[in-house]
Amino acid sequence: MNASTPQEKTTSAPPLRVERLTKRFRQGNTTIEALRDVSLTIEQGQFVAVMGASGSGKSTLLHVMAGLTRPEEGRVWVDGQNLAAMPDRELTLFRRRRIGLVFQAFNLIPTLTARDNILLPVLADGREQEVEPELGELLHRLGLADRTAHRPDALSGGEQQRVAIARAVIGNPSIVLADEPTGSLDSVTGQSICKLLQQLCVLYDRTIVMVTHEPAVAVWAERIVVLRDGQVLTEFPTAQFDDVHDLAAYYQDVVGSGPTGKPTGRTKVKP
Amino acid sequence: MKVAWKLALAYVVQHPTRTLLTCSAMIASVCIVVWVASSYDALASQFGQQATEYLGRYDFFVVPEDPENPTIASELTTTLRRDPAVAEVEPVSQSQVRLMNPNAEPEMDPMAGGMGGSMRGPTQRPPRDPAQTAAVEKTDSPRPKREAGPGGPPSKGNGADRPRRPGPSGPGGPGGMPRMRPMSPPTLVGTDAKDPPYELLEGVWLDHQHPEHRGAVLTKATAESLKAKLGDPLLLIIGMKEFRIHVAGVIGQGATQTGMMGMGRGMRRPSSTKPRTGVEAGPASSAIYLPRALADQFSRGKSRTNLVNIRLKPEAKSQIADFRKRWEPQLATSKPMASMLGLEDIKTEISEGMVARQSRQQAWAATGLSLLAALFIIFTTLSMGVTERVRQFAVMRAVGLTRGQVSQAIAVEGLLLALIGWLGGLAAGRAILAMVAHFRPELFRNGPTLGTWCIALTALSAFGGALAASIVPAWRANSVEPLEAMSPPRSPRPGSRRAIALAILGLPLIAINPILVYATSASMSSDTLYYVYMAVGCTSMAIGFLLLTPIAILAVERFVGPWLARLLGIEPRLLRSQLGSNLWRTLGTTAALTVGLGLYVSIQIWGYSMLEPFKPGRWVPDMLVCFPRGGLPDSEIDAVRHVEGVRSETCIPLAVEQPKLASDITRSEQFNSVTRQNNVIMIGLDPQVAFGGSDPLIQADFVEGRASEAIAKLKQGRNCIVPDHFLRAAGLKLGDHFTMVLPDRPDRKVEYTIVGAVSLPGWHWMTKFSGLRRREGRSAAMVFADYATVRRDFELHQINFFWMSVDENYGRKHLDRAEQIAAELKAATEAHRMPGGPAPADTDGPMDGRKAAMLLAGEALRPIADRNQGEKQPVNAQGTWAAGAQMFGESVRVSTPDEVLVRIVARAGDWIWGMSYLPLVTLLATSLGVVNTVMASVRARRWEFGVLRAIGVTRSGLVRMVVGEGILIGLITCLLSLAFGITAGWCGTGISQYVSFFGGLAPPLIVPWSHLFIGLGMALGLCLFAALWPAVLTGRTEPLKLLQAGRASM
Repeated sequence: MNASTPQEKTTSAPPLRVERLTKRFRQGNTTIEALRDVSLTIEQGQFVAVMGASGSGKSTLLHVMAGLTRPEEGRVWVDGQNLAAMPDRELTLFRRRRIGLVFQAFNLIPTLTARDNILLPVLADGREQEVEPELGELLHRLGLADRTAHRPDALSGGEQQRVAIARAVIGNPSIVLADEPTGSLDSVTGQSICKLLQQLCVLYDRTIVMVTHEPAVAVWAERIVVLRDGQVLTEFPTAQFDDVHDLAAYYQDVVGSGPTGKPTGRTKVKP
Repeated sequence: MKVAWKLALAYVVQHPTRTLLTCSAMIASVCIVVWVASSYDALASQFGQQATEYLGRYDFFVVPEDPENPTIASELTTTLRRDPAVAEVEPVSQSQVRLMNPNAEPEMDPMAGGMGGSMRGPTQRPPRDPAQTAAVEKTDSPRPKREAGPGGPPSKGNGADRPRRPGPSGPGGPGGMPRMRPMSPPTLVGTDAKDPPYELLEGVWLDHQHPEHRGAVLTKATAESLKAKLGDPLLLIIGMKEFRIHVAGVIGQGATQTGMMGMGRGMRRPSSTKPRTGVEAGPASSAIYLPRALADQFSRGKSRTNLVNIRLKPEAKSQIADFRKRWEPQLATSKPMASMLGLEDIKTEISEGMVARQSRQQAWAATGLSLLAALFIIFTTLSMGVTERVRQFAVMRAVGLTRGQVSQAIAVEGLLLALIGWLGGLAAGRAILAMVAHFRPELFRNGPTLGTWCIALTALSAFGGALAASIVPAWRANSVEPLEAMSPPRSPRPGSRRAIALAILGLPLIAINPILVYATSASMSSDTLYYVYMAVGCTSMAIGFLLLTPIAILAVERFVGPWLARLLGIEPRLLRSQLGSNLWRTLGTTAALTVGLGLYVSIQIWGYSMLEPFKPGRWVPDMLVCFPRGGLPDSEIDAVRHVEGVRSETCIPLAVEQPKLASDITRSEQFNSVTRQNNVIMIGLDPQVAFGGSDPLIQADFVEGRASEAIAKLKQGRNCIVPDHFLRAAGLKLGDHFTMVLPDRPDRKVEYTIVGAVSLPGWHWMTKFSGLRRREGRSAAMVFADYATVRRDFELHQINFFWMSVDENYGRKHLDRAEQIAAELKAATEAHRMPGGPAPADTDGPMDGRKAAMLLAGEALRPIADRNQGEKQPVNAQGTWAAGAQMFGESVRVSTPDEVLVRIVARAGDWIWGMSYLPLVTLLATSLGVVNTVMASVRARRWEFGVLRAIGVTRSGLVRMVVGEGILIGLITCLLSLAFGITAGWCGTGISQYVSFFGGLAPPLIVPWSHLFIGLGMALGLCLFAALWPAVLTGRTEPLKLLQAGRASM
């Protein structure tokens, strides 16, 4: 594993930068290369969508970026710290304070109330008093003010995901990583969640990386990174598309293109 | 820590059924400890009161400390009197005597021990007709020459010869409450005290002005034991003489309370002949007080001051410590040496006494058992929780909880369950005690309270168990990787490889104990061996079986599961792998059940294996006849041989004596046991009839030597055949010799050479009540030698014993007459039957030829005995007990192997079942864990059940599936418990050979299947019953609800 010490700082420290990541899995006797030499930089306040077909490595990339698993090669810089070189406890504490995670399946603790679920990372840190003033505003903004005493099984899917988003941002992390956050929701609710993430990004200057395979979701981001076979195929801003259909067509064009990732030119792109 | 409490509390509150079941099991487990430990608390609460009662109106006792000269010097008494702080110094003499109340009914329960003199059967009752009364009225007359003196046989009558009864009641009554202990032999106290040492309950104190009136004052316990009232005449027997006295008063030193019995004269080992010193020399609890002058007169001036009672002046009471400090050095340097006993010494002694110690040991045992039960109950619950929450833990880890915080949450969860269980258990235990106290107030003299000891032990069992139980689940929870939050839940799979690996690790651990006990024992001292056995052997064995549990689960599920499924009429594949896939929770449940059942099995196997060498074997002849009064001359031998029902060719006279060994070849001083005693029972017999021919009278197997050669050598003179265990205990071999001392002539010794060794199972109990133990309570061996030689060597002039076989055909022909004899004997002895015990001899049960012949023979021997009545022969107290053998009239005492077998099996059974009670209650408590496990299994499979119901499986089908799982858990438990119990029982039997009083007899391994089936059946029944509730609940749920509930939990 190519790793430097966690203390090693990069010069202009963007909130998230990955360098030449390689991640392999073993399935029986076969070794699968889930990520191959992936490099990526996410700037402060950016909302980036990572797209790709099933098995393209997009979820693996997110897991590595979240410090949930370690790469075989390469480095992951979050807030100037290399996650790949951190020991487990340090990494856990770093994740608690600097990384927010949103899961497809919400992953709330069923025995805790919505409020306790939101506060879980700060409870673990003993900082619940510190975030108390912000909590009210956050709950209000997420439309959860009157649902705090409910347990997850009494909340709708959208509400559960909003609780999960609140949990992800409550500790004021440097980045929020969302793994298919609308995957378990209907399209209307999904759109509202996307809007919420975008608002967080705009209003609170959050840096968000979202994994999705739906163009209708990705379109809410300002930049899209497309992965294919564990490699970054291409990346492009969403601003160049008039609507989601154009984006979807362009995405299909890119994914269906040759190894260079260059679109066939059949889709309409703004200059 | 806050997050751990929040998570744990939320989980416990959100799973009320699981919490309730777990806590119920914990409550039951804690209740067991409360029940047992409260008996010690009840005892401990009385220590101070008992110590004060024991001191009476005195502040100190001065007791002798020199075993060579256990007296108090008169100069010391004089000096003590000069001390200005002293108000009263009262020197007294104490000596052991025998006491009889001619007016009282005979002792009704001789097996309960009591005074040596009162151990008389109905046939030995002092005669009531005038002629016989006259004989008794002849007081102050010499006793027959061969009557045992003080310190001899009477001292064996305190019940110490019978096995102690441990188990749930242990030292106490049912459930561990204090039980009244038998009286110790009475002590004659000679005193000049003007006032009674204890409260005078009835009558008057000693009349020192008129000792010739012979008024005695009894302690309450002595009076009750003798059934003596004021004015009653008593026979005081000292040495060879009897003295007539009467009851003038009764004082309140009842001292029947458990702790007090350890004090004074009551606490000596009966077999010990060492003089009493220190605490043992304190005031006797069972006493008869006489004026010192009279006591001196009765003992022919031999009484010595061996106790001094001291009372301080009221103004000096506040300086008790100073007084003690002043006198202790002087007493320690006095000649002979003495020491001082005060309140604290007595309290300490009571708390360290046998009863308190046994009670404490029982409390520890219950705590250990309860701790193990709590451990596995909580382990099961935590394991289930961890398995179900793997994804939650992954999420927690992903959002930033450290491994330590996840582990803390699990540990706190365990402690929460323990806390609820502990508090609930204390409350429930207190309620039970209050209920018992309501119906049996005498068991709680100071009220039903939960004492410190009880609270501490219950806390130890609950919280210790909880913490230990948390280790593996916490480790499993903190091993969860955060990435698992992103993956779909894994379906559990049976970990066959891991199970095999654990089994490979477990088997050598299990093997350590047998190797230790049976292979390496010779290289260690008994003490070292015992400690290594406990610390290493038992621990490694328990861990080994725990490691073996996974493979047992998989094996039973794989091989028994399909058969059970077919039996229940369900598809085998539906029953498969539920338990194996959820290994941890199944392991916890089966281990919890195995704690109780395994222990039960091991106790049964150990108990019945230990019993086996004490059961009379086939070698024992049909009848052993004793003529305790007088004995027969040689001229009567033919008459005996020709009584009806007896086979004359196998009817032989015996010459019996119980001499001491000249040297301690069995090392009985070092370690006293059934095989290591300082004497043997010498039996002279006709070697040819006893061991020769095709149908010998004694059909014993020769372990060493050959019968024919041994017979020939026996006929030559001082040669003998010994039991095989005697060779082991004494370290002798064939050709070796040993020396004995004649009982009545210590200067004369005889030496016998060993020419054969035989297996003689059950000889101990054949001699116990038959009268063969003529001098001592126990013996190292039954030794056979030539009749004439023994008779000559031991100067036995009359015949007191016959061994004979009977003619069964004769008996069959005269069944009616035998029935009539049996009815008469039964009527005569029924009144003296031991409560709950077997009828004396063979008066109960169906009549057969052998029994009939024995009854006819016994009856026919009566006139022969009557016409040869004479001196009472020396015999230990048990040899006179009415319930110990069948008496035909006054002078014929018959012991049969059948009767001894019934008696010993009944006694041992009582004992073994007493010990088995606690494990069975533990099994009951832990069975609640099965409900929990099956509930968890059902919960995890609701969706699957919904699908099954949707595709057409009936309600009953589902119920049978769930019940089948419960039965499988029961079967795994039975398998593990059997394996554990057999191994533990076997090792327990092995170690007992070195450390137990009953060891040394090399018992075979006995597996009492019929008894084991009770426990195994109980376990299976409990598992079945425990599975019924979740099964029926599942069966009653609509398919759609099952599907919805299942999907929601996914």
